[in-house]
Amino acid sequence: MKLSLTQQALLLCAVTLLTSGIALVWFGNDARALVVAVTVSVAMAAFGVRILFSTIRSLNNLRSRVDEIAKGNYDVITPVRGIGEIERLSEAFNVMAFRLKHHERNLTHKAYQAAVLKEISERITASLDESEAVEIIAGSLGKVVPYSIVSYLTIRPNGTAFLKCHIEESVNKAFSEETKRILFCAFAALKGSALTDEQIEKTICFGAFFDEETKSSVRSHFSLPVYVNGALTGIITVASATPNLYKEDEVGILYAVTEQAGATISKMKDLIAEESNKTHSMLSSINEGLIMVTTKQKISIINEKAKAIIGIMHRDRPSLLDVIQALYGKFDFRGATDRVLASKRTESFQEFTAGASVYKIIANPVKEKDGDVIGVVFVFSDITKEKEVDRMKTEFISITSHQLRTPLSSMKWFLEMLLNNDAGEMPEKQRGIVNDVYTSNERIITLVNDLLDVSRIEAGKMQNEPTPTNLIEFLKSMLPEAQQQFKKRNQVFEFHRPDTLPRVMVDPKLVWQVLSNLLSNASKYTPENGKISFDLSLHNDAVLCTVTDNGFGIPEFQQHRIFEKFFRADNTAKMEGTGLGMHIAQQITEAMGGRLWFESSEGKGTTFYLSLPISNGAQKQEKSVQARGENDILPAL
Amino acid sequence: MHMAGKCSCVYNGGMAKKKKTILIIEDEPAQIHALEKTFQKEGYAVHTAENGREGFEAAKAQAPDVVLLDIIMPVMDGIAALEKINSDPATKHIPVIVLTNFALYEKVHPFMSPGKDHFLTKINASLKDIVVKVNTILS
Repeated sequence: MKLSLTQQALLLCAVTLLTSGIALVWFGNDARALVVAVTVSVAMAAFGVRILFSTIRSLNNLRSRVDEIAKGNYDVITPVRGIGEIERLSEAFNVMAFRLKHHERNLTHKAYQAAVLKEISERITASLDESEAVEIIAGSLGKVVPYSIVSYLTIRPNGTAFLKCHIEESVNKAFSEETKRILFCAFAALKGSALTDEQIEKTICFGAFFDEETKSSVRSHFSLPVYVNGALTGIITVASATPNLYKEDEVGILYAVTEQAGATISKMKDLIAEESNKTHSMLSSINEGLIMVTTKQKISIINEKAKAIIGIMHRDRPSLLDVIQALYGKFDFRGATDRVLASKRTESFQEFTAGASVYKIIANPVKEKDGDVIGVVFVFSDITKEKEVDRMKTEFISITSHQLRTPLSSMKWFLEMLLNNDAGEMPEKQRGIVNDVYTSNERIITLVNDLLDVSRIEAGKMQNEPTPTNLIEFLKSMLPEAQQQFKKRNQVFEFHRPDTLPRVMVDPKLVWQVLSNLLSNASKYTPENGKISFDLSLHNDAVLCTVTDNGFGIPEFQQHRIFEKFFRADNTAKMEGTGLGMHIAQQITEAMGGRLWFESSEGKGTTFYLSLPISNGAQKQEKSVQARGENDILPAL
Repeated sequence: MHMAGKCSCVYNGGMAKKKKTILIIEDEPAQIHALEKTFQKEGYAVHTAENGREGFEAAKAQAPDVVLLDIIMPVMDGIAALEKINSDPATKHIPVIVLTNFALYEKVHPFMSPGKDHFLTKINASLKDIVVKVNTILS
């Protein structure tokens, strides 16, 4: 029976008092009684001292035990013997240490599990391929358990399999074969049927060399199945030459990890399948043909419409070569891909005819968030209807213009004959009226001519015959007639030019069509007594024609619309005009490879710039025939 | 702009001698009328034909000094007539002024003989312009 410290102390006191009491009664008030009492007291004190020392020793023991626990050493379990309280305290500490040890082991396992899972999920997210999942798990195993060999089987949806083994420690071939046998057994057990050699597409072993000297054999092993979406996609067999190496709880963790990895992939696959389905449905239902080519020159997306346009409906997953071959001679698909990858900009290509349909091809670079180009997407839009409408429109305008031109030219000539008195002398009043009719007829003629020009430009039938042109000489011959309009409105006209200019490769008729339009606009939209100047100059590789007036100007908010068809600025709405002139001028300029732009300030005037490139080659700086270098201020004729 | 000043006889060259002859190949009666009147007034002997085939035959028979040729005509169009005129030894020296509202110059251009033949768009040419052109060619 063990007594606690308090009990022992009380017992000592009680024994002392009792013995002293008995001695007092026995001997009476005698010296012997005193002797007995003193003797007993001394003996009891000695006992007390012994108990005290024993207590101190037990406490010391306990302290060192607690120190060990504090250091994390839960294994040193030396039960402290001694006085009751201290022993119980010691026992309590031991229980605590045991619990701590258990919790710590749990935590370590969980941390392990979390770390391995994290790595696996990161690597799987990057690959998104379930067949790689097995490989990733097998590759991460070394961080969790030691082994000699890990063999793993990746089973593909079509039933074939890859066998790989990683040799961590040198073992003999028989060891490897045994591991393989265990793996195959696990397969047979899980699948219910044995794996045949035909099913194994490839076997790869890597890591340490086989060493036939080693006599080791498989002493511990376990196998892990990997399931994705309910299907067995792999088995991993871990084997070691060390006996009893794999504890149940460790293997348990690995099972959990594998299961969770499989579940993660399943979820991701579902998600991807769902997204892919959505994308696929969307791509199939749109009316445009879509093809995406990656920077690695692979077709990553091609929708049904694109396959139909190209004529490769029968191919399930056409390769880049299929597309290039199908388009050969019609569209340089590879060249276009390379161009967009190089320019990293949207490019549009020539129209493409497939059967009875006409398509417009636009290629856009596909950029990631950080701006990196990862591919090119081609969009084939059916523009057959637009083309047909456009053709009909052009034909309509062309025919109408023709039908209108014949009677208009007859009228023009007859009115001219009337005014020439060919039908007899006309009184002044009648002459005035006929003159007005003649002017009106000329206006209709201008409108019809403009419409015909637009229709010809739109139909691509504008006649453009570039020849090396001396612009100074050409304009000198054309300007005098144009100046009559300035004279009529009492406007000052100035012509500034350099001595010489290189010849420009242009069709002079077209240049004049643009310039005469700019000049007549300058006159029309400048009040009487205003000033118009026309400058020719050389700027780098282009001849710049500048027409400046101090007229009404173009309202700023309408400036961006100036080249639109039929556009008339608000401040000129009451004036004569079709709104086609600037549109035609711009179209012609583009056809000549030039550039047309302007600066304008309402109420102050407008400057138009026509820049004509001196095309490479043939043009040489040529002396102007006219040596006069000063700026011509030609008299208005 | 040439408004209708009075038409003088400035352009009436060579009237005292043998009359110059002009052949007008044109299907539109109003335009034949206007052109015929104008050139008669200028002192020309005027022949007319209403389509390309008649025009070509007339060119062979009359050997005019100059031909005014429309393009869009029945029976034989102006392009075919031009081709015939320019390939027949009897007519290929005769200068032809294609006078038409037909807008596709490039379709006519290949059949024109450079330097000899000319192209005028009716609607942009006054009668005076046409007379000046003919007189320039014949001078």
